Amino acid sequence: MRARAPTRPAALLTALLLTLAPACAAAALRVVVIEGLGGEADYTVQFDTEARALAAAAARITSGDDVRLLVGPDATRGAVLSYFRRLAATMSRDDRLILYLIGHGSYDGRQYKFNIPGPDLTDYDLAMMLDALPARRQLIVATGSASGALLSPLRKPGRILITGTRNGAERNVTHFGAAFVAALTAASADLDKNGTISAQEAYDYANRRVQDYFKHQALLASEHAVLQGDGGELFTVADLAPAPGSAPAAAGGSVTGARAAGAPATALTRRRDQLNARIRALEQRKATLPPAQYASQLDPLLLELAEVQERIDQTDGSDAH
Amino acid sequence: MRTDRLRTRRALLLVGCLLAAPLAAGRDIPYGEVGDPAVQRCDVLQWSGQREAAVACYRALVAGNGPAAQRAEGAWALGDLSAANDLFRAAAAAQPANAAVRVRWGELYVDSHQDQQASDLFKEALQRDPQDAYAAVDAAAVLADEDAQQADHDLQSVLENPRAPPGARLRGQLLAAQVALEEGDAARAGHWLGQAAALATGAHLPLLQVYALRAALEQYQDQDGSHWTMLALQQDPHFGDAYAVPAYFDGIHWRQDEAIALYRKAVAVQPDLWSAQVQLASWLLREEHVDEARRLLQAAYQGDPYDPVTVNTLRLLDSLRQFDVLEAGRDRSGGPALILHVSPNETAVLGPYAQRLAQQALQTYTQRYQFQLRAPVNIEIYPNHDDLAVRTAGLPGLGGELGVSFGYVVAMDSPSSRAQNEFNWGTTLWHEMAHVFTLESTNFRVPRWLTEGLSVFEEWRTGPIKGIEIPDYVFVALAQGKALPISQLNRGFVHPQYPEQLLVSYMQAGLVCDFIDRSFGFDQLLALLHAFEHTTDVSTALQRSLGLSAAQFDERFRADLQRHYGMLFAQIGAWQAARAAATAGAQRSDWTAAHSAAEQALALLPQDVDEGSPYLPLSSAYAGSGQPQRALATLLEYWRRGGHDAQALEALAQRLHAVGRRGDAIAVLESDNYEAPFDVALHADLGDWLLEADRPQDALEEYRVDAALHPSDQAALHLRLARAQYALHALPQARREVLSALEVAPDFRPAQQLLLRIARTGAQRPPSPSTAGPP
Repeated sequence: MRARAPTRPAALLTALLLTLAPACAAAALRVVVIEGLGGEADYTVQFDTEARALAAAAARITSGDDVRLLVGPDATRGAVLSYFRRLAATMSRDDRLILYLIGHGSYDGRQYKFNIPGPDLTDYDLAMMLDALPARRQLIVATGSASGALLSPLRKPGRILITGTRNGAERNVTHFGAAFVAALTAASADLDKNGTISAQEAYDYANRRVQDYFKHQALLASEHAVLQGDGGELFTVADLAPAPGSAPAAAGGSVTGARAAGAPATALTRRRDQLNARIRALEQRKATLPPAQYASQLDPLLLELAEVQERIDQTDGSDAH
Repeated sequence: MRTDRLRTRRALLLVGCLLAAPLAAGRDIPYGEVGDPAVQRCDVLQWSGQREAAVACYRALVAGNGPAAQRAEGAWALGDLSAANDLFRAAAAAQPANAAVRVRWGELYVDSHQDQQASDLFKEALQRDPQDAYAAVDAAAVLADEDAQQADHDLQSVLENPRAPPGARLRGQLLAAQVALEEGDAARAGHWLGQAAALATGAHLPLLQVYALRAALEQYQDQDGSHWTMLALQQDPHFGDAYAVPAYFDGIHWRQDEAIALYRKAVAVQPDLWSAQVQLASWLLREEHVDEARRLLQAAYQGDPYDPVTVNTLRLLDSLRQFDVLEAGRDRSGGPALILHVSPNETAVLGPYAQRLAQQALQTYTQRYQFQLRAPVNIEIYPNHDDLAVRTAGLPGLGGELGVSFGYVVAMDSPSSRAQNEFNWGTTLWHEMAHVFTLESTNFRVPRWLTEGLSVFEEWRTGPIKGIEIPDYVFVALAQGKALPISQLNRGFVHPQYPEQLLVSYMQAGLVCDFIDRSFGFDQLLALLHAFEHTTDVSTALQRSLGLSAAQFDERFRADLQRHYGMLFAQIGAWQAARAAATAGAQRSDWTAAHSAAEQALALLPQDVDEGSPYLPLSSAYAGSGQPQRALATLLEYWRRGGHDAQALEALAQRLHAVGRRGDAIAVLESDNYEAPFDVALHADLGDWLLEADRPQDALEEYRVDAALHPSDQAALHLRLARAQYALHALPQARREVLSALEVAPDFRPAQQLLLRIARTGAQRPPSPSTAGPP
């Protein structure tokens, strides 16, 4: 099980990836949300709310056409498998996929089942339909009961799997799904303050929230979330910037980094990127440097970065805050 | 009957198997239960003080070829509990229908602190012989703390059975006297002891325990009972219970100095009375004499390794060594007025608030009780409830305690040891601090009901969260006429007859104090408190302080209850139904139903802020039907009346802040801190709002608490700390913190902006902190 905070090496990887962004500019992000059966009215409402929130968050990080919410008759086994067959035909290996499974799961010791109308989707079904996709980079988020049973059958290089439980034996209704959805709009989940929420950040936020819940209730935890696979920092799952025409976000994250990189490069933005790269490189060496020497090298870089950003803001004629 | 029989039967750690004790321990008086003449001959030697001859006699029994039960008695008397256990097992197997063997075997388990197994054996014995009076008395003794009603039933079956063996009846009478004395009912105790003395004399049974209880009774009545002790010691100079029994009763009536002195004498005359050593150690610990207590416990462990209290107290001492020690305030001699012992993991979170609140309590109570403490108050806060349970082991009626006060020592649960909303640590500390004053100012003569009543009353009247908060089931009990007469109120604490009675008694005692305060004034409440310095009789104390007999007082109190709650009592069922309907309506978003039911319930009890309070569904109903201002006003009313549900207060604080009522928002979050001190967001928000209110030092304290809770969002945390330091003109510290924020998140725009301000401000005065918003 992994439950680590984003590290600077991961951030460095992000930076490198950003510099490579033009090379895969045509790559698409496809997001599929499958809403399972609630069984009871409260769970039906809860799952529907969560599924729609995930779809709405996805619509802000990719084209609305690339987001699909499968619910009710669209979420039967036949409809889901059919949809994924069609999806496979439209994806390339550079495309990315996010699949959310929102609902109850069960595990009988041999087989995992995701509860949907009609016959359930099994772990075998999920593995087959995901393996058939050309997209190499996949993020699967299964928040419900027994979802940990998917860890083994869905394990694959390039695939990140987040589950609400650590195995199939954790069968209680989970709190993880609601916490994961809350992360998508929480400024405090944005640990690197780049204005977006990565899968890793959402997982960390949700995991801590669930742990706090059980701790505050003085209960033994009946669920233990897991993040399996590398590169959770690279998968953006939400954008914290206010939607066009909406009120500003309640609590301030800053908006730089990823989205600013899409703007035309100027001398200032190039300088900012250089400084960022130097900062990350320095942080890689932190363990090998005496603290005073590390600080004496880092502090001027951070100060200059702040000054450069200020000048960029002035040049843009807007201040993010 | 020995003192360990008198101690609470709650096993904290069951010893899994019986091992041989290295030394021969004392022997219980069987009171004719053991009919074997060979054993009786040895017992006579034992109880006449001829210990060496008795040991030789018991050894001969063990080495002989007698029946297994006879050899078991010998092994038991010599302290070889393991051999005794094996022999009793063999005896029971050989005589499947024999009840008496099982009774004695069960008593062996009592002696090794394994009450559940003992209880099972007593039941087996009663199944074989329902008339076995010894089994019935033993069952009653084991159940005394767990199921007082069943214990009463078992005991009465013996006391009212003239055909029961005299020894069993005598033991029943001694147990009845003990229970009465625990409840502070001296007359009833005296009655049973008179009966016991007559029976023992007529049946030629030992009077040792009668004498010990006589001494305890007279001491409780502030008379000199030492002549009874001397009578017992004349018969057996090594009879430690002659001192230990009165010591036990001094202890449960909070006369700890007397208890300690008597336990010391008990240990002196009978060094192998391990139960007395453990009790002495426990009381010494309650006075913070740690080293001596540890030595006694270690010795007791060698002699009686089965006692879970010994083992757990030694473990507690080890964990206490790791605690942080914080001091606060100054007493007249210049020493600390308060000494807090807090788990290192919780010091940064609880320490500052506990110090502040305890000092506030100290000032408030010094003035109200006109009493200057003579020693510092030690406050221990345990993250593990079992440690608190060890602290109170041996004291009846303290089963589900949140805190306890032994005069200058207060021990309480940490909020981390319980679920959120289950425990308000602020009111608990306030409650326990009141005990310090009521116990110490009366030299521990105050009865349990009054010290508890005053503590509850102070919670309601002067505590950090004011307001009369009473659970619904207490009102139900009061409506059913279950309020005890004032002269019997102690019983509700010491031997509750139904599961809720302990809390019903707490609330009744609080209402009694509230009634006296309103009707006679606080000075008369103090007069009643101090009247108990001169008498243990409730009626006498009431007469001297209020000019009323106990019966007159009961009548006026009942009338007051009717005046305030008569309508509620008359419609108690409808009230409960309305409360439930309000909550249910809100849960299914039926705002009309929730509103109507909540209004109906609140009309009967406007002060209802306990769990399930109608204010919460009413507020939801207003919010859900588009009346946000009324929703806010309803939550505010709930808080002002003492409501403290953590989620409700958090929501209230956020709404108040959103509408610009920053001062109220801060006050609400500060009270929420007594409910949810480990909530990261609470401290962050509180710090932000304090900073907005131009209180940077207070904000910095909140942010430091936030830091101690290790929030995930480290960049935001460091920016908060930087802003507070900046507002305090501490530019180097502000710079260090903002750089820490940027190290985590180099592109964090608000941190960059602050860094630039700091760099440009240099030594200049920083701008108003109100310009700095949340990260």
